[in-house]
Amino acid sequence: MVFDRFTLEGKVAIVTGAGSGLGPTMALSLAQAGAAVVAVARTEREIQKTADAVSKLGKTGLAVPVDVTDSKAVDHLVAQVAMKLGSVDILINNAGGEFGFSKAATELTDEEWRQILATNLTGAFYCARAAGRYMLNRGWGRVINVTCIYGARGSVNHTAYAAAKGGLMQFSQALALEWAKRGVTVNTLGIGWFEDQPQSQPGPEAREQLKRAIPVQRLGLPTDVESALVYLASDASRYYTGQSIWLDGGILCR
Amino acid sequence: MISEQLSLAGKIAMVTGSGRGLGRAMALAMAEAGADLVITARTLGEIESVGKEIEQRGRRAFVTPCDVTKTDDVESMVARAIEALGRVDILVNNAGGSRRKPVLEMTDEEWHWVVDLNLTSTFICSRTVGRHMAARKGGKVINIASGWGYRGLRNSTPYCASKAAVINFTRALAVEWSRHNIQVNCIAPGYFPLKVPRDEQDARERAVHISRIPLGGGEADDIGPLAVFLASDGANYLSGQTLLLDGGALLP
Repeated sequence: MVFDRFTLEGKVAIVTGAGSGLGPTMALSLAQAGAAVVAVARTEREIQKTADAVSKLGKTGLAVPVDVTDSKAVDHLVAQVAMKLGSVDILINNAGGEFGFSKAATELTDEEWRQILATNLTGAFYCARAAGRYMLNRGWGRVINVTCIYGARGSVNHTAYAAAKGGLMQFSQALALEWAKRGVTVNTLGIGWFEDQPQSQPGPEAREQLKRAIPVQRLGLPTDVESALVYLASDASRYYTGQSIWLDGGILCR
Repeated sequence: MISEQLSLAGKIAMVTGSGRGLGRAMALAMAEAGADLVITARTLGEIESVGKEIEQRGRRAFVTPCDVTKTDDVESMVARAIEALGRVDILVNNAGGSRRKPVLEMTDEEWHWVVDLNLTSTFICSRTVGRHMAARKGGKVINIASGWGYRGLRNSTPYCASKAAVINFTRALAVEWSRHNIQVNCIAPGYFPLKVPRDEQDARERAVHISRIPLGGGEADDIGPLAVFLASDGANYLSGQTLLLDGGALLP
């Protein structure tokens, strides 16, 4: 049966940035397909909610507060997950963001540049390196890096974020090639303009303008994430690596 | 449960070139996901046997031969299919093919034969089925391109050109039909060695080719889940995209 290919029964998934934005939706989508889920972010309160929601579905849900830019903390997290849950099969590198730094390149400080690169790109490397060691040993794994429109297209006053997300996409392709022979696929999930993002809340008029720029004429909804994510996380995508799936309502075809 | 969003229960899917290979694999996967199927290709014997396989899975199959490069043929085929099954919700433009020849020796007819089969057929089928989808305010079109739509292959210019054209036809049609709630996407398969090797040399050449692909050769089972996902409500926010299902062949 074709649906059997999408099952995540018996798999252990780590989702970073699992406390806010689309993170909780991603965690729940994986749990619904059968996975145990470890929700990671800096703030414990938010990820505890995510872990509780996973538990309500009858799956193991853990909340582990970690800053993904801290390499030692990431190594410790992955070792802890492997010990408690038996393996690390799926990694969703979803932590990221721009922290409100919509700034001209000439105004951006060294510290702001470093912080955006660290959270969006270096953190994903730390998590993939740590989880990858377990995946390669077991001969099965899925790494899914979450990117955004700025990673594929330029935008005024977003140089650092665009560089980090663009870097993440190329990191995915290089890593896909490095790990392909060992059963671990690496892909990116591109996120367009979604209802609950801060960028999508600029006031009613700008919001209508944003919708008009999207071919399907609406903002994305949490339910739009589920099937694409589970496809990439499951055996269904066995032959798919180094690629992107864009949940963007068609923005990138114009 | 994940299968709720991916379910194709109650949907009618038409797959062109579905008598064998990847077309057959996509049709069978969609039947397993709950769809009834329109099975069409030029060779009647092959589509009849795929039709039986669909029925063995408990779904309805309307089997009808068609040359997808001929407008009249496509229009009467679509009309018969809609009469038989009521409508078409999903169209997979899978029919295609190639004839290898150097450009310096190629006639106009040989060029047009390949371009018509891969590109013009996709336009004709999309237009014909799209009229019904637009009237019903919804549908999914899945075009089939190729890894050769991105890179060059010797003695295959019309194939490479027409597959690249299918990729950008997908983007343009996605933008045009978003107002009708029709999502248009594309799968670009890499190397799927589904036919039995002709001889020992063919088998050796294949083995070399497969060894160069990071994930090896593709299997028929690999395309089914992707086609089901793109045909389902789980892909409602995807449009204009081409998904390169090639085992990482184009990464290096």
